[in-house]
Amino acid sequence: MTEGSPHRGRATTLNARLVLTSSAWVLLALVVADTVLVWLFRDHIERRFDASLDDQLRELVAASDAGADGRVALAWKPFDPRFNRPRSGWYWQLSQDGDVMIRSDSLWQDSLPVEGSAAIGRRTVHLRGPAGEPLRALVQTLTLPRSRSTFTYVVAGPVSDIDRDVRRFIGQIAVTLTLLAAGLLAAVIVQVRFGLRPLRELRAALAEIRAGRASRLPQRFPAEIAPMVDELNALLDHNVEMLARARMQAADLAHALKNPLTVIQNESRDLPDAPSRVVREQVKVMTSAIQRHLSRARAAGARAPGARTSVAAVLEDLGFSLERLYRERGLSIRIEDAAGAVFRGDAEDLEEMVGNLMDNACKWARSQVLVHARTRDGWLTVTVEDDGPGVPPHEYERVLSRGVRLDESAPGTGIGLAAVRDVASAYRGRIDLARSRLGGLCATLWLPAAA
Amino acid sequence: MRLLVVEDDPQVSRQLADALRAAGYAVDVAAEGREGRFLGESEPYDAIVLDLGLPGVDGLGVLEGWRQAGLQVPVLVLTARGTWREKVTGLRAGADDYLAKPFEVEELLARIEALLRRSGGHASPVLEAGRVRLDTSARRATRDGVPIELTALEYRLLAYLMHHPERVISKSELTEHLYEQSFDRDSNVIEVLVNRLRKKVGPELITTRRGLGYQLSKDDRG
Repeated sequence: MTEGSPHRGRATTLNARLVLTSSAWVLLALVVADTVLVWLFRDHIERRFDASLDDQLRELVAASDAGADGRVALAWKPFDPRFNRPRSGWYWQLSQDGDVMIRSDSLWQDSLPVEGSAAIGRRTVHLRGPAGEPLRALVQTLTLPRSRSTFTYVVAGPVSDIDRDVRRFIGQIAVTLTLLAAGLLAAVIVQVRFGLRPLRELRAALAEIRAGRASRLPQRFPAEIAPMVDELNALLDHNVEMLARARMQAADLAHALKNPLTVIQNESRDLPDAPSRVVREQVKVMTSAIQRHLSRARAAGARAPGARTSVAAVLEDLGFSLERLYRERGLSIRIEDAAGAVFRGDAEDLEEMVGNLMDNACKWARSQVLVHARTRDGWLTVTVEDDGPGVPPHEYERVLSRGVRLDESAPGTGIGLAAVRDVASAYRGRIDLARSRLGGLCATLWLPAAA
Repeated sequence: MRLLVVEDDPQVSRQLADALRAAGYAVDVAAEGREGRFLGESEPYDAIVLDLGLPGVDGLGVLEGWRQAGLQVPVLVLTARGTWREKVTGLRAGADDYLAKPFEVEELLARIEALLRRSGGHASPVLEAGRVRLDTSARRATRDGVPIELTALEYRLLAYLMHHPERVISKSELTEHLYEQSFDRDSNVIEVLVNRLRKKVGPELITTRRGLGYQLSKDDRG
């Protein structure tokens, strides 16, 4: 369960997917908005520009009149300082039958290059001014009363005015849209993080289970994830149920087989010596085979994720039981340092492992058995020592194997330590044997600890 | 000494009863939890052998019932499962010892004897009173080192008296601890039995307290 990493090729986290796709849409939308806004703005500015040209043109038309000689004259000169400043970019001129008759002061001696057109009407044209600057002009051709000539009015203004306004607008809209984009992206990230929070919580809850701090997922997930959470919980419950059923079946089988074995074993006492011995040996073989397979069937191991067992409670139970069972021998069973140690696994498994080790120690001990539990680097160690005769180091591997007993003088089926090893390995743990300071055997069990 | 065996498997139950009777005990048998619990509470047993895997009320429930009712009798638990969880629960519920199936009858007898000895407060398997010694593990009595031949009932009587020395024991208590439930009780039988035992172990050992019962003296006053 690691975070999606670049090594997996395309981004594999939902987080990245959602943020990337949302960002792409946001950016595209903003680019389109920018284009449309600039276009609309330019259109608006041009309309206003044309309106002001139109005002000027109307005034010119109103002021002009054909004299008695047929030549056009202005009753008054339109007053707008822009048309008086030389080369201001704002010009007007009046032509009669193609000849420029009157022009604005700003034109000086120049004229605007408008192709003479006889057609009556008005149009907007683009042309070049005296300094070669681009102009936007309104051209109207008409006839005047008392004259048969056609008159062409031209009013022009500089395109650079429009361009300047549009450029300023582009600058402002760019800043605005960039700020908007940043805001939207931040909102997307916040929203995705908020939306995906249940998934992060789910992951945390699963980690809790793996760490042995919880046995089920909590029920507080939103409707989209709830079915998955329910399924997972059902799976976990199913595991627990399967374990309970396996143990129940093991118990039933034990019951079903061990009563007949008891009967056979004790009935064989009435047989002659040789066959009686054979029967009893075979009963022992069967018993240890049953014991072995049942202990495996019972072991929870990885089947019980989320299990958590207080070591102190188990040691206390076992100490109490063994003191009672070995009361005759007056053994001292000391338990040290167990407080706070927690086994990441099933209580019955821990009882089986430590119970067998302690039982073995009690069998061989002269007067004392010492048990201590410790947690270090994620491992729980339970050490069981006795002051009995001990085992020579070259025999260690042999006593951990099935069915081997070093000495037939103590009761038992001889599968105790091997069973411990089986269950421990189901937890990826192990058992080490060494010589105890007390003189006897020192068995150390390594098991995963819960945080 | 009178024992109760609570075991549902008829074969195992029969073997247990046979072996225990052969060892000199009076034995009552129950095959089911409720009956076992009733017998344990109503009859004064010296020890009980209880199988945990019983139909109906299971062995653990029976044991808990007895202990809640204040029954002090030593209980040896038998079980087929043999898990530590079961041992711990059994012992916590008040069992005194534990034996996993399949077991050897000798092992069971040794455990029962140890339980009886412990409940009588005796450390050694050999009990002594005056010139008489009783070896409970060998089930043999001697007087001045000479073996005494005893019938099962006589042995049972001697063992019960020697487990409770210096105590005045009524005839009815003796009847209850020497005979099985099915026995038709008659107090005259006890008198006859005590007299027969006196002839074998010596008249000085057992004193009759008229109207109260019998008393075994540890010191030789005869």
